[in-house]
Amino acid sequence: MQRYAAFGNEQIPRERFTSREFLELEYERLWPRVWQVACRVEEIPGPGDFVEYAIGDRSAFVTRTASGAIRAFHNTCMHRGTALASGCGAFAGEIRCPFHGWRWDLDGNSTFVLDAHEFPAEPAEDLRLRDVRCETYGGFVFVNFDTTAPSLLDALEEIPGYFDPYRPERMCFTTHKTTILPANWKVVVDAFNEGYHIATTHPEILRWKDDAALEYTPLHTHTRYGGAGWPVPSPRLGIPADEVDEQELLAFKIEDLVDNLPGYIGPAEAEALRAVARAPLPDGMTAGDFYLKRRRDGAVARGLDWSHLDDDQVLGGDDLLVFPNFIGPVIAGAFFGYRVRPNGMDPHSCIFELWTLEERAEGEPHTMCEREVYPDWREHEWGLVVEQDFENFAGMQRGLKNTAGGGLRWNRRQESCVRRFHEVLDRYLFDAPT
Amino acid sequence: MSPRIRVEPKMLELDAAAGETVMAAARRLGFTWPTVCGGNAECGVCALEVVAGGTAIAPPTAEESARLSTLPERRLYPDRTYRLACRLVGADGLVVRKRGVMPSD
Repeated sequence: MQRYAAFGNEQIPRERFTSREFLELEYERLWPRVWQVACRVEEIPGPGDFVEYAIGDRSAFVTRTASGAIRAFHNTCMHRGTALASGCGAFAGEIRCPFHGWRWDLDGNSTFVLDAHEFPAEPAEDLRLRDVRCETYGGFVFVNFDTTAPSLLDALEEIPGYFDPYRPERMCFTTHKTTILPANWKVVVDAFNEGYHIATTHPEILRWKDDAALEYTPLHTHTRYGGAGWPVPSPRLGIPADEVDEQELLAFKIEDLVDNLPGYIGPAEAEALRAVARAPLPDGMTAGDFYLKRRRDGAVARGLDWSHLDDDQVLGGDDLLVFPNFIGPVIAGAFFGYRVRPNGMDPHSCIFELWTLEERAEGEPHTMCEREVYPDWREHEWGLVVEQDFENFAGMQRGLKNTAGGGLRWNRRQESCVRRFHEVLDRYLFDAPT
Repeated sequence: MSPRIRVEPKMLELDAAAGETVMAAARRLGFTWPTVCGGNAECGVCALEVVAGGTAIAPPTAEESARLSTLPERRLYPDRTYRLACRLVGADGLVVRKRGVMPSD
């Protein structure tokens, strides 16, 4: 097991994606110490609503107290250890163990022990459920099993600077899908942390996006890439500027996004946008001008204020990795996020979730969407773009087990965010805690 | 007589060899043809529109048809005929349309 020099161009050893020892090291040194997204606030609107968050053998649950506060507890009974919450649901006023009926209020205080007089006397405080650090940002509820961890906001570093303008706190779930993918969790995170694969894996996107112009911004801990939102054909197509057909560009961009990446544009907007994909462009307007105007006008009509967002944020947005395992593009009005976790002790598969969120006008009501679970991703239609990515994973993992090729090679610019992710991971795994 | 293929909008005339694909003929004659996969019927970037002379060409194989099925151009213009330049064997009098075909100086 090796680390590699942080900012160099070294090749990357393969075993970090395939070895059980590396996975164990992550369970020992990464997951117990890092903030990780557990759920969204709209999943637990009322007192007693809960969502379980499990990572390896660790499990916590997030719940809302009678006063409306959000708290998280280790998911284990103080009596004989039984898990108190499973999946998601609602406690009926109190948290109750299904085995012997011990109870706690939603703040974690012990309220009932059956035949308490038959136990040794113990301060009530000792029977409290064990707290897990729990803080929210932008409607996302994060947990951290490390009681000494810095605050979430400190840990997020530059992320709010990129995410805040899109007002994630006003977004709500539109889809919540879970599946198992046949690759190490980092293979999947890495696959979404660069646009270098667009040309080969998603060549239809080249019709409307200059993939080579994406800007990569590896941050201190997290990563960001984006820009290149203005619709133009990729230079890889070789189309001279005077031969570009703006009418086609408009249709390619809108139809590809709406039809092939459902949820990237939220459902409230998608249909209206789809309807103008082939509308004749007004004189003098490019595809970019028209698309921008339709998106901005549509936002105003839905009561959303995008006046502070620049054109790049409306056209292309930012792809953010909230280290270590929450990644995806945010654009004006919507977020298309992937949460990726290792799958037990198997280094060759991972638990993958697609979370799509859409911005709502203030006060607009929201119902939590259904949570869909597909043990095999092929049981469901995810949209062409996501399926193109999924198609790669089995072969990527299989090939990584073959050590004949030596170390991996990363593009110094277009895969700089991938390298940063691994460099930060190595800080957790190999540097002494500070 | 070797098949002569015309490529719009630049009105290039390609004299293909017998059995040669359009992309191979263009390359041999000093032009670059847009592609990402390099001519393996994978990326669909080389797709061209058949403007005339289509009756003289062989129908697409299953491999080519599969790639053509998800071509964005086909969805946009369902009445047009699209083929992959890396798989289409030229025929005399064939006229195709493809932007981005350039002399490879």
